[in-house]
Amino acid sequence: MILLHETFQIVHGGLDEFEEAYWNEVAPKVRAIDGIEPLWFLRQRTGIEGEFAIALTALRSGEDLGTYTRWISGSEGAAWRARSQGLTHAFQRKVLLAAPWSPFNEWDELATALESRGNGRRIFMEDTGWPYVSVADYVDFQRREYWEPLQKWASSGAAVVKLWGFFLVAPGSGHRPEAIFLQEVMSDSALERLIGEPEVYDPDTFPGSYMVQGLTYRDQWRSRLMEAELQSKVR
Amino acid sequence: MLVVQEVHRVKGASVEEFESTTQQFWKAAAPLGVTPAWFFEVSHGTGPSYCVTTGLRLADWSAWEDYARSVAYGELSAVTEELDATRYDTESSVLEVLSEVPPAADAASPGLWVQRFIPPDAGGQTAIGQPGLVMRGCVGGSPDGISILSKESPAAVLDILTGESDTSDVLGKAESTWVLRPSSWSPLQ
Repeated sequence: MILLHETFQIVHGGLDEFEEAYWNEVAPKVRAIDGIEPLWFLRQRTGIEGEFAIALTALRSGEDLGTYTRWISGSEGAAWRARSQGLTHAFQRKVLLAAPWSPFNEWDELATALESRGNGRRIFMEDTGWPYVSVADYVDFQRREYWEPLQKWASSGAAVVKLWGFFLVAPGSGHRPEAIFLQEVMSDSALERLIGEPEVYDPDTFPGSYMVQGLTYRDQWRSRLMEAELQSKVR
Repeated sequence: MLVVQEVHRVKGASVEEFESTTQQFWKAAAPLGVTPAWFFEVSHGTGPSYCVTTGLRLADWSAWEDYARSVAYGELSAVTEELDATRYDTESSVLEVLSEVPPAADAASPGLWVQRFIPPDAGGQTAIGQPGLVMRGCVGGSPDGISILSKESPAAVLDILTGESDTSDVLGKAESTWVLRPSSWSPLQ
């Protein structure tokens, strides 16, 4: 499985109209194609980047990516392109490949994402990092110092985030070196602490240990908080 | 036919190592059905320093997936890391070749290659069949737009850059134009 990641920088005030157009003009049509499954529409109403949305679409294989790009750039996608171009001022399309130890490798795993339901508002956090060391070492660091401790947290019932996947940007689809964590925030209070408290980390205890050690791998990353549309609307 | 095109920001002191490692990378990728297409430097006076554009041909999307997984996590990751050590970063895209017509026999030699990027829905498809490669952006770079890679003489390039050339046809719709000089060992000369 591969994950298509499309970012739309939206003209001020256009987010709702863009989102409605996405649900009505794109999602149902590409979902009708075998091997293409729109997953989430993540949106930010305001922030440093202004209004933007990220559409995440699961694709079973590279061949299905080819089918998608032909559909979206051809006559069938013309109405959507016209609508989208009028409501956006920038657009990026990249492809994400999950690390071998991350969820989102097998098509069968989609059921988990499709069955997940939020109770009201769901908040996702996308962390994009640009390592200045070996990409392979960075991927392994994330497994060892973040993914595995987070699984221990989850099994103890104390996790405040759910890690949906860790990805590299696929060759041929954007920037290298670049890696992305896609997470769902499970606790508003934990998020409030993350936003509101000073960044002082205990180097000997997770997650402080992760933050301190991480500086030897990268110091530039971007965190985006986005609201996810309910799956009920997706389906 | 697909092309994976990369724009590399190479470290100035590592240019020769970048070139030799690129050739190693191409050899290592050959068993995956990947064919070298071009190695161009952005011409002096037209863009950033130590900026290199490479192209690789792949038969189809299945071949691209094998290639992409190999670079990200598989047998090409080690040699890709060697490339990483010689560059700051790279921006890549997948382009689908819509038409390919060899340059005319009297085309300038040595010549330059010019890549024009036409935004989506601006009529770029009308360039299909013109000399050079006409390609559609699929992912990365300029998705859904059309790019045209054609061989030009240095004098024609100057006319393009100064606006002296005819811009009444589809080429005049380009929103970005790259002037590229092939290395001596680039497959496309």
